[in-house]
Amino acid sequence: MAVSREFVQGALEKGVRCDGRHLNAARHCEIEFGPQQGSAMVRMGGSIACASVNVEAVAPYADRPREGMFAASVDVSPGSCLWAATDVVAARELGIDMSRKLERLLRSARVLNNEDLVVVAGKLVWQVRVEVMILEVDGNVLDVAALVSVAALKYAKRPDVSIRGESIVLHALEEREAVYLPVNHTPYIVTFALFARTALPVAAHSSKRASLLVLVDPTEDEERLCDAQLSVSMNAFGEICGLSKAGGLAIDKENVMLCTSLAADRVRHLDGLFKHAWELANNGAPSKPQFNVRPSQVCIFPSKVPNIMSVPSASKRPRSERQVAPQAPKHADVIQGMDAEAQPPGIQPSAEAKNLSEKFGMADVQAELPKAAPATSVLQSTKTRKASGSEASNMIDKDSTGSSSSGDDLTKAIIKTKGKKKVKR
Amino acid sequence: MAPQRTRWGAAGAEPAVDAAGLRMDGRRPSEIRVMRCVVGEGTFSPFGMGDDAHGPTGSAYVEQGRTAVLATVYGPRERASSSSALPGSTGALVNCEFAITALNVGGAASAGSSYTKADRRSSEMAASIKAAFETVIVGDGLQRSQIDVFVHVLQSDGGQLAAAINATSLALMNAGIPLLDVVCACTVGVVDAYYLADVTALEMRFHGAVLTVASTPSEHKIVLLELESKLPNQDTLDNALSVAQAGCQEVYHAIDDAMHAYFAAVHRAHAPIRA
Amino acid sequence: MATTATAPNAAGVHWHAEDGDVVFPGDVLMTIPESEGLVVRVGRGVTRRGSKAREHADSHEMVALYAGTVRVDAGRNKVWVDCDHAKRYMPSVDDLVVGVVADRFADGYRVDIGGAETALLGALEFQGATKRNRPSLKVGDVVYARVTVAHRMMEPEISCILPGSNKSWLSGESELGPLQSEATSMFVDVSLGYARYLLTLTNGDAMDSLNSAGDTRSVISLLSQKLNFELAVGVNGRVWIRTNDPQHTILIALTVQNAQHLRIPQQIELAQRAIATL
Repeated sequence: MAVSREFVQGALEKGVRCDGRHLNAARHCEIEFGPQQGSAMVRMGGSIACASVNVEAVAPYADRPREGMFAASVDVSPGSCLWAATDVVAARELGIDMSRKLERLLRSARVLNNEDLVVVAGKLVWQVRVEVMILEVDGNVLDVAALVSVAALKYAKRPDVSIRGESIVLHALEEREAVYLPVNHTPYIVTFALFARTALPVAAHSSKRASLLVLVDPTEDEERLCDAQLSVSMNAFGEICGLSKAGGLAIDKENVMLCTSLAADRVRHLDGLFKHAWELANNGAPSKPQFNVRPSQVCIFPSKVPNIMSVPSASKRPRSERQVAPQAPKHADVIQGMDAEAQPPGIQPSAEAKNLSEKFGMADVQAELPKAAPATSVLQSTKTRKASGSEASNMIDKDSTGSSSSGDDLTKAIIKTKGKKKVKR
Repeated sequence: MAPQRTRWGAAGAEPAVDAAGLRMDGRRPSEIRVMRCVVGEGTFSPFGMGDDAHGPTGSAYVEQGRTAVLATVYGPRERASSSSALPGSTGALVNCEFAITALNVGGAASAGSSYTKADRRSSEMAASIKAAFETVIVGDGLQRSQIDVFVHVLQSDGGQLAAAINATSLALMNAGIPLLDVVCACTVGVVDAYYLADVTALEMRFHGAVLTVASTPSEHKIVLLELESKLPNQDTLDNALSVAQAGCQEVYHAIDDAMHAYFAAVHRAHAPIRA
Repeated sequence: MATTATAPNAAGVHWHAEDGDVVFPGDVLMTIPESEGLVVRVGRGVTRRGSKAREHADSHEMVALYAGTVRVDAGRNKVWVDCDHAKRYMPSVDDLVVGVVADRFADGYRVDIGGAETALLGALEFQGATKRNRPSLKVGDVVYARVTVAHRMMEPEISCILPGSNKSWLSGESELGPLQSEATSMFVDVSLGYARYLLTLTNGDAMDSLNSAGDTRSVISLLSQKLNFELAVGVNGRVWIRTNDPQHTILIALTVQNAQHLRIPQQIELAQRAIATL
C-alpha cells in the first residue's frame, strides 16, 4: 500500500484511515501465552512479537546486596519487514531504542520490584531477563513489545527455593512446582499518531483540541507520515505508568489529557484480552506443541485471507477433505491460483478484512465467525488435518470490555488459543 | 553508600514537604530552583574558547540549583559526507551528543550504574534533545547542513534533561539559529499529593513519579513529555502538567533575563565601535 | 531448446504432467523423444534438466522451475508454469507497470517498479513530449509505463509511449504517463497473478464484452456501476486507484486488495457489501 501524506490527511479529515479503520479503532489483537513458561506471543494487526523470560539465580552486585537484577532487550528481526531487511543497521537501532523505552517502562512502573527478587540478601538474587523478538513490523511495535514482555513476565516461573540452615536449595521442577515471578501489575503502552488538522507548519494553528487528529494503533505508513507520536503507558487501574512524547508537533495540555482518556479505554480493552488469554493458558493444557509464527512462511498462500466472506457450504466441508496444496482449478469461473478452496482452513480473518467488515457494517458476519472458521493455526491445521474433525472451536469472540463507553469503537477482538489441542502425528 | 541509603532511602524518614509547607531545601512546592544562566563568550567552554574560526557558534551554561549543564552548538555547517542529504529531507540535520562528566556531586543519579548503563542513558537523553529541537529549528535554507549540539552535564542533582534542554535553547539562540519558538523544560515530582516543581535528586528518592515537560512558552504547547514511575490517575497528570508548564514559564523568565543580560553586554562591548 | 521442423509430431512427446497440476521445482513435466521434426514450445518456469551441465546434455526431460500450476496445451506442445502467488516482479518487455519515481536526474528518472532493480525512464519518453515541453515528475510521483528493455545484463527501461496511440500526455488522455498523484489517489500491492487477472478484466475488449453480456462477475465492474473511479493495474502487482473522495478510494482499494484471496462468488459478495455501505 502506498499513500501520500496529502491522501492520508484528506482521508483522516473525513474520518477514515487507509486501512478502512476509524480514527480510534485499533487493529485485531491476539495474545498467546506459551508454549513454555515464560514465553508469549502477541499479534497486533500485522505486527508480531514474541518474548521469552530467562530467570537465573546469581550473586548480587556488591553495592546492591538487597536487589535482584532485571533487564529487557528488544531485537528486530531483519526479516521482519522490507526496510529492516535492506537496512540492518536501522533495524538494530530500532531494537536498541525500544529496549531502552521498554526497560525504562518496566523499571519505573515497578512491574517487578528488584527488592522482591532476593533469595538471600548479599548471597543470591534472581536475575530476570526479558528478550523480545519483533518478528514482523507493521506499525505500533512498541505497544506490541510492551504487551508481549509483560505477558511473558506474567507467565514466567522461577524454581522454588528453601533455605536449610546455611544452604540454599533450588528445587528441581520434579521436586516442587515452580512459582510465578512477583509481577505487581501489568502496564500497557498505547501509542497514538498525531496529525495536525491542516498541513500548515507547526506554529501556524492555534485552535485547541480540534486542531489535532488522534489515531490509535498506527500502522507503519501512519507512523512514517504523522506529525508526532505520543505513548501513554497505563495499567488496568488507570494509573499512568509512563508518558513519552519525543519532539514532533507541539501539542496542548488538553490534547495530552484527551490521549490519556483514549488510552484508558484501550487499556481496558487490552486488559480484557490479556485476562482472557491468561485464563485460557492456565486452564488449558500446560504446553502447546508449536508456535504458529508467520503463517506466510509456513504456508505458500498469503496469510491475509479474509474469512469473513467464506460461504457456508465451503466451511461445512469436513476438514479432512480440504487440501493444503493448491488444487488445480477446473472450473471456468475459478481464477488461476486464486481458488479459495485451496486456502488452508481456519485462517484468522486479517485485520483489514475485519475492519472492512466493520466499516461495511457486517455485524452478522462477526457473529457467525466462530462457526465458519475454527481457529486453528495454519501449521496445526495442516498437521491435525487427519487427526480429528471434532475439535472444539476455541475461538471466543470477545466483545470489548468497555462496552459502555468508547471502548466499542475499538475493534472487536478475537482471542484464540491452541492450548487445548493435542497433535497426533 | 550504605549510610546514605538508610538516611534517605525510605520515604517518610523526612517528609517531602514539612508542616510549614516548605521542601527540604526551603522552597515552596511549585517553586523552581535558582537558575543561573551564562550565554556566549562568558561560558568556560572546553572547546577552543574565543577562537572564532574553531570555537562553537553558540554556547550556554545553565545552573539549576546544583545541576549544572554546559551546551555548545556548532554549525550550521556543511553535512559530513557520511550523512548525505536524504532525498525527502527538509531542514537541517541535528546531531546531539550528551555526556555526563565524572564531577557529579548529586551522586544519587548515577551511583552504582555501570559505564554501559550511563552510556545508554546518555544516548537516550541525546535522542530526546534532538527530537525536541528538530521541530523548532526552522529548516528553510538549511537542507544540506547540519547542526551539532554537545551537552555536558557537569553536576547532576536532578532534572538533567530539563537543564540540558534549557541550556541547548540558550546556546541555539546564541548561535543565531532560526527557531520557531524557545523550548523551556521543567520537571515535576509527584510525591504524596504534592507537586514538587524542579525536583532535586534527594527528592527523587521519595519514589514519586517524575514528569519532564518541555514546552513552548508563547503558546503553552508541549514539545516533549517524559514520565517515569506511576501517577495514580488522570487528574494527577492534569495537575502535574499545569505545575510543569508554570515551571516552564518560570524557566522562560530566567532564560529571557539571561539573553537580555547577554545583549546588554554585547551592546556595551560594541558601543565604542558604533559611536 | 526446441528442434525446428515443419510438422509437429503430437504423438512424440510424453507428458508427465497435465494442465492444472501443481508442480514443484524439479518436477519433470515432459520427456521429449529422440525424433526429428518435433516442435516444443516452452514458456516461463520450464527448463531442460541439467541444461548447464555437460553430462546432462543429452537429457530430454523438461522440468519445472517454480512451484506453481502447470499450463499445458498438448495439441501445440506448449507448456509453462504459472506462479500466481508470487509477489516479486521480474520485468519483461511490453509489461504495463505502475512505478514510483525514486530519483530524478538531468535526462530522466529512476523508477521503482517493484523489481530487483529500479528502471530508467527517459525524460522524453512520454507521448508527444519535446525537449521544451515535457512532464516534470517529482520523487514519489506515480507513473503508468511500459517495459521496453528487460535483459538480465541491463537495467530495465520503461517508457510512457504506447505504440499506435497518439494522444499527448498534455491532454491527460494518453493511456500511459504520469498518474495524477493528487490527494485522492493511492495504490495497493496485490499478487502478480491477481494483477494479471485484473488486467485482462480492465482490458477494454474484455470489459465491453462483460458489460454487454450483462455479466457482473468482477469486483471492478461491480464497483464501477456505483462509483466513478480511475484505475490502473500494473502487472508488477500494483493497482492504482483515484476517485474524487479519499473514502471511496480506500473502499475500492481495500475491496480490490481483499478480493484477491477469494473465489469469484465471494468476490462478488464482497463487492456488493462494499457498495452497500455507500
